[in-house]
Amino acid sequence: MKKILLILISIMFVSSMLFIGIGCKEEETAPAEEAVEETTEEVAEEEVEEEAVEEVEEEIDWAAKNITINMWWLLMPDDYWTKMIEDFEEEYGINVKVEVLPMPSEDTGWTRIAAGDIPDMWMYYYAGEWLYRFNPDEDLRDLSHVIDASKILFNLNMVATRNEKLLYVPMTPAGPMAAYYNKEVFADIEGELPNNWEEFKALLQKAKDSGYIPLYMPGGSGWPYQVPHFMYLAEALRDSALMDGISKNEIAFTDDRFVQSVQEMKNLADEGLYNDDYLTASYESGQIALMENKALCMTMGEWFLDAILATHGQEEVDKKIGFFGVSKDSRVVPWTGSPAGQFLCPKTGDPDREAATDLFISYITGPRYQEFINSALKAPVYEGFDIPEGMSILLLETAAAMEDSVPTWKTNVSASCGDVVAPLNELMAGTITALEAMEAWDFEFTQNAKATGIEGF
Amino acid sequence: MRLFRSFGRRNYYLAAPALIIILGIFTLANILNFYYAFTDWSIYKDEVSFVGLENFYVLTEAGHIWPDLITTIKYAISYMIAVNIYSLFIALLLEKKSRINNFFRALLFIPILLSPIATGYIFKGILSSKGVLNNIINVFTNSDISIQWLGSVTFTLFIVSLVQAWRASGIAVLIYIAGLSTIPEELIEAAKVEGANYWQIVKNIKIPLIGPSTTINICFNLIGALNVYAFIVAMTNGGPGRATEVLNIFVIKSFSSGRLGYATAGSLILFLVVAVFAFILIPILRKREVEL
Repeated sequence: MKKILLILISIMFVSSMLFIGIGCKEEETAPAEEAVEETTEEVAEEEVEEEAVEEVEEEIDWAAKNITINMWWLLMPDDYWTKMIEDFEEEYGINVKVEVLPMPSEDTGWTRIAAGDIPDMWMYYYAGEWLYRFNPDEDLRDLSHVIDASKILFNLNMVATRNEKLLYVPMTPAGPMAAYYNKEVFADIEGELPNNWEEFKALLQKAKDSGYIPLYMPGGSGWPYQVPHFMYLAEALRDSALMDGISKNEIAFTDDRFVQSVQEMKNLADEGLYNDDYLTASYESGQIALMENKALCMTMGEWFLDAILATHGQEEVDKKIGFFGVSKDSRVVPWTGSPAGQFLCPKTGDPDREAATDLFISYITGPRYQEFINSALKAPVYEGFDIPEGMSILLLETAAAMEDSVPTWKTNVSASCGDVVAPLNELMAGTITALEAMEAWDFEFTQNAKATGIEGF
Repeated sequence: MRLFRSFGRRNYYLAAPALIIILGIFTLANILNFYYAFTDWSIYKDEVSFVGLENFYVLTEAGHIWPDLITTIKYAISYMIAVNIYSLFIALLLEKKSRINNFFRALLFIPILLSPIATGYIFKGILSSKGVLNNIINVFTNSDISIQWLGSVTFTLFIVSLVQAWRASGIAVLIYIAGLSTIPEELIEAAKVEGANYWQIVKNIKIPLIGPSTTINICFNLIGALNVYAFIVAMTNGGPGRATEVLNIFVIKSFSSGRLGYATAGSLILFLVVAVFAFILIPILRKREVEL
């Protein structure tokens, strides 16, 4: 038995050394060989894509191939999605396996991808900051042969495309970030829509003086701190040189415009313009305060409306809630993509599954898309479809606001900034300064840009 | 070799499945953890290159690893102290066998059966500014205060450790009760005859004689608390600021950034901290038991 145990330990040791050896061996490949391998891989990938397109066009007996598409979702699919998937399975004989990733879903997904478990479609953040956690050129499929990017509305292709490759399947509009306010409270304090940040603060002060919570900040959830920062900075992002400079390492996040924007977020707290418990307050309690006329406004993205529409109904929400954009010097609104309803497709290396995925994308963005937006009551993001009847007036207004909007820096920055929320939380807790928060972003961004291999870092 | 000789053939067969699992899952993973911490392994490229101590240098430069390490140790020590004091107190109350004590033993064991995530969220509600605890205080003091129990950068960490101590104390209580039941009744009787009061008996007889139980409870709870993750995520998610961000939260966040070698270096530091605590603590406590 002693020998058996020794043999087992030896096997474990040898196998661990083999793992290490495999890791090291790859770096020993000569550059010339790598170049040949890469070229061969590119040619092979192009061939695979061409074959996939041809296969989609041909009459294929999908059922005989017994293919399953794996989809990772953030949320349980609603009844309409469930029916659409069932109809697709019935029509083509392709199985669609939907898996809802446990929260935090992005971490769960990344851990699985690191272990080699790659989905065919992933409902994923519609923003460059998240996109670049992939190596998009190498790891994501170009979907331009399935969707005509020129027919995508609201300038969404600004973030859906990269190097003329379409990397996302947008299904719903992006979310403009603005102050969603209670119209009754607004009328009670005789407020006027602000044209710049100073007027916004004056409006909040007026609400405070009248005994209302001026701006409900659900800081317990962490991420909502970002929104006032995005709003304040929107004007500066009209100048594309700012983000170009950051992406090329010519400008740092410690630029005054960034520092000032997060400082303003903190100033609102210091001036008592948030709820008293902003450090721990929840998102849900903010919705309640807003709908029960206790708070004047919340700074949120358009996705926030889905929850209150579901809990309070369209009629009440349209009657009670309005929104306005405001930035440092104007009313321009920043927008970002919500992860819900947007998909990207990692390369799996399986031509049959990739072709079946293409077919599914064509199905959901083609013949079934009008039904989808009618069900979701959202504005279409592709040309040639009608705005659904009965859509919330507020949602129509938010869609219209996209006309004077700029994407947030997260949508087109060239690498991930890592955990952007943590330094903001520290700033709000008073443990670091605005400059230190931006230094933390810059440090993470630089490290990730280096890891991604971006030129200039 | 003495270890092998002292084992019977049948015992080898019995131990083999567990050994295979430990070697396959734990040992192999740790060997790889040591290796990858010194590489640039990331989701951004296929190649994995040796980078020496660069990951550790970046960890230090980022400025979070040491504060998070201190937070982890503070949390672990405060949790370990709280769980042991609370469990010993309960064990002393319930050490006598009776129906009512059996009932309370079962009742106090229930929290450990709850998921840490569920307990964390429940207490997040109880301790929120408009939560049950503040409401109770307001009823009794006839005031309208709103204490942010989970919003302080100084005391929230200790509040979280107290809640976790309550949740996880069931097993520690059982271990202490088991220890107390091994104390010979004659010793207690002799002390009583000599005129010792209850507190003197506890201090001079019971606590010293339950040394093995104390060793187990200190070691298990300290090492367990150094590895805490889910409970803190549910209660505070590391906030406010980074006041409750323990090393495991940092490591998980680092993994999601895609720099896997860097994240592995963080987890290696945590592993080494746990190992150092275990190697230092166990011999000290064992020695103390022998001396007694």
